[in-house]
Amino acid sequence: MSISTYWRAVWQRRFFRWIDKRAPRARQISLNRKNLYIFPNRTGFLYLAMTVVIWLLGTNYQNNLILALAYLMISLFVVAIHHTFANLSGISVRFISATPAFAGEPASFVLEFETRHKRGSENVEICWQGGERHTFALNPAEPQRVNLRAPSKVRGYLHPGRLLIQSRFPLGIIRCWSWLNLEAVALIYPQPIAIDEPHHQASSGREEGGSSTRGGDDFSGLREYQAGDPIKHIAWKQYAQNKGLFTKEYEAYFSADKWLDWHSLNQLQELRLSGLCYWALHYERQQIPYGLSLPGLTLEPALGEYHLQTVLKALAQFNLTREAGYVD
Amino acid sequence: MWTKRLAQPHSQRTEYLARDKLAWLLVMQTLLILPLLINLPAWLWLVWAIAGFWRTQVFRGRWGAPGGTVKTLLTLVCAGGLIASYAGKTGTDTMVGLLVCAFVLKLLEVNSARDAQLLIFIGFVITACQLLFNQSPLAAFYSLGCLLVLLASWRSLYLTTAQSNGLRLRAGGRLLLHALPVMLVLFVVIPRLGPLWAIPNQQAAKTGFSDSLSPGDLGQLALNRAPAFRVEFTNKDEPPPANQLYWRGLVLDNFDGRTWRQRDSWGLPPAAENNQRVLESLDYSIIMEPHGQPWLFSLMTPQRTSAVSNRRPIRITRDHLLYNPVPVAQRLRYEVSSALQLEPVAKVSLSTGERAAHTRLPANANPQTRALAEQWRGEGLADQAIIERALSLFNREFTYSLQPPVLGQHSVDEFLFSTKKGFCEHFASSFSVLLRAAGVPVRVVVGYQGGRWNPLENYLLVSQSDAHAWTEVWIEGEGWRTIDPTAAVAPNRIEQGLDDALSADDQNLMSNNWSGSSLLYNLQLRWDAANFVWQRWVLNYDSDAQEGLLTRLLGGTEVWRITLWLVGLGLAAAALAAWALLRSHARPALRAEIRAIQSLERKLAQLGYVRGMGETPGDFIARVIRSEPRWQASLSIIARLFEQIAYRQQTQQLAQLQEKVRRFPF
Repeated sequence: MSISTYWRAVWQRRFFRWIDKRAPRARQISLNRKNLYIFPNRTGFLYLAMTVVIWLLGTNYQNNLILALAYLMISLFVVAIHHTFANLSGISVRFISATPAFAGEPASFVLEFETRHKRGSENVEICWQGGERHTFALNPAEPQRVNLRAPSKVRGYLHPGRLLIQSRFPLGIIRCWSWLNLEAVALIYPQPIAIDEPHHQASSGREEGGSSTRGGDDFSGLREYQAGDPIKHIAWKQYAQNKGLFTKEYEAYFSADKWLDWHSLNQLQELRLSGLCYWALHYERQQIPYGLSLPGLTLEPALGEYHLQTVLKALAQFNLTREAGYVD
Repeated sequence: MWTKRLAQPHSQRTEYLARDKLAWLLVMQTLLILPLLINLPAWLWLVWAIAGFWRTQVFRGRWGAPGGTVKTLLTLVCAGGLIASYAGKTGTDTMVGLLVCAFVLKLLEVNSARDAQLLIFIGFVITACQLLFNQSPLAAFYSLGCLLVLLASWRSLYLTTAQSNGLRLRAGGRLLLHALPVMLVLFVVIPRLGPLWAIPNQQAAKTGFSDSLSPGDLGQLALNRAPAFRVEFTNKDEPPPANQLYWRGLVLDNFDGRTWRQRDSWGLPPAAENNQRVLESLDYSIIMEPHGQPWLFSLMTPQRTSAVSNRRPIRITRDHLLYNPVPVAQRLRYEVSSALQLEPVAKVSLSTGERAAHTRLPANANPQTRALAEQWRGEGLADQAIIERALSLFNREFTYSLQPPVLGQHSVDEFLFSTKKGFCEHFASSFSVLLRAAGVPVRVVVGYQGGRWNPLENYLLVSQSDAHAWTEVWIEGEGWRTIDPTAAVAPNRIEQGLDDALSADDQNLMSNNWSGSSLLYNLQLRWDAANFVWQRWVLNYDSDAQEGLLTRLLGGTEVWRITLWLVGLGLAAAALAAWALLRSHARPALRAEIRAIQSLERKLAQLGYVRGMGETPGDFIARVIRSEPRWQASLSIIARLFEQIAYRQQTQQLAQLQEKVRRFPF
């Protein structure tokens, strides 16, 4: 890390501490002179240098009109400050919702913007700290929803950090910006990682092989009786009709009803969760009912989007030790 | 830089310019350089045409962007052209040429917003260059228009949504309008400095006469209506009579038989020769158009002079002429106090050397004239009598004309004895030769005579067509006296100006005739008055004028006073801005469905139903329906639509709601 980056980081930390004190976290924030910062950018300084050149030209040639042009440019600079500020001032930002994501993938946050500026707001740029940029324009009295993605690293709750909202409109020589501490949060599922398939360790008190009454065990067909088939499954009806001895076969008889069992795995916690996540997705795709067994939580085997979300949510929230995902 | 750009993946943040933004840049550039191209070499037109055409083709999607070879080639052509056109010169023209080159070539290269931003910045400098060459009100107006387009296209660079051209122009105009007040305050208040370093002399077009006078020189100028200078009389509201308005520029006292020149270039200032008392003086200030010459104009015997905004003072020469150390390349304002009448002093006399110099004639030129002069001398006439005889000769036999016959070797002989038709320089020249031959010291003076009084702004406009030549004759015991032989031929020329002195034939020669129609004359008078005000208050607003204005406006020019005023102005502006801000915030933007329901409420209120405090629109409408069942159909639809829009975001039904509300109650 070079010295300048170091000082930059130090300065930024101090700056953020300062603005955190000024602007507490909220679900909805309005931009006004209390939280908007404004300063000329590099183009702005180039513009001022240009103004000086033109002023020199006017002074040296004793040309009042060129001097007037230089003064007009200074005046434009001042006007640009007002216009740039007015462009952002009066915008209110509201956090609507967030869509969950798998760790390592960007999570999408839905934000609603509305402006009180009677001409609307042009060229508004937003991004989460370190995230991708999104530029849009706001019409007056027309709330607009924006999907803004933030990168995620680990499972748990993702606080995307501060939202940078900035604009250089109309002349690009002044930058007006704000760092907003939005109360936004997204749930991050564990990253799916392929590991060995978990096996359900038959817990005490359960019937061997699983009961046929359990969910998902639909009757699927008949096959010839083999020695050792449970008597319960013999197709007595067919036998009574003298068709021979058949065994009723059920879909979930042996292999169905997969269990995502925490205890069947022996990896580290996060890897285990990632593995369970992988298999949950796998079973859902294969349409094999699956249950989840975590210490202190058991979800009966089932299928469907809602079930999957429940499972993934449980995995994401399991044993969160820290104020997860919140990176300062 | 190129390699770096290539090495980076395409996804780097190069924001490519949209076509509409490019179109604006194209229009902006064309507007900006048009007035400059007139002053620039022809090959630049060509480069501009190529670049503009190529850009247009790229814009229309016909051609690709020019490759490296083409760009290098164009750059080389421009470099070569610049060297060829401005070899060795490092003046303003070179700078402007270089700038326009860069401006034009950059357009070919503009791809990203950053390039466009640079183009905009160059645009400001180009606008400054426009004002370098032309500072008339029209030119300033044009530049303001350029700035408007510049601002509109600048703002367009940062637009994220499409906007109509009119809207962009209006937004640019708003920026300009907001900037003007601060600009005016800065213009009035910020102190003017002199030039910070010497700048290469601007190649001013040399208009007016040169430092020599041959037959036919001034006749050319008579057709030129351009203003030479404007005069304000500070201790008078009326101009002095026309026969006093001899604006002296140069004294020509060396005759070679055909051409009059200055004997030595500029004499020393008068060595406190005689402290004559001034009986009557005239104070005036002159705004001189740049003529690229060092001489200035004044009435007879200037006593004091000062040029504002000029660090090197104007000198008064031995011949009572004004001499500016540098050629007048910019419009110059100076003040003069002239003695119209001096207390006569008895012992004024001319030294022998001076007398010889002022009676010298080339040996073999104009024998007939010399013979005539010697004949007069032989009759024993005194100086005064010779002068009168010569004048009466002119009066009797000569005519005033802008189209005199061409004169040959002995120009004065031919004029005096055969053609007898001429213009002021013919009269002045032949009169001087005649007098010199008779031994009377005389010299030719060139300058302007008369001028047109503008009653709108109380100033005198002296045009190039007022250029005039007359003589000054040494009168023993009195000094140099102005004698105008033209006045003997055409007194109208002196009293009323050139137009009245000319024959119908000559008047046809002058294309745009002032006296043609009074409406036109009045318009021109008005236009020139506007020009004068512009010059006085804008172009020549210098530190003196600044001090004067500030003293009048604020009561003084002390720093604390100006600061106080500025702070006051700033506070007023801030209050105004705050008021505007509060006003815009006082009415928060309402959702459209709420506006619709509010208009329904207003209608119902007129019909006698007022929504109570805390009553929801739904309850209110239900209450109205209960007492007015005939509105049931329309009101229940309105209530349903409103709820669907407000609470279920079914905004597509908005138009229906508005329609229903508008048509309520029927």
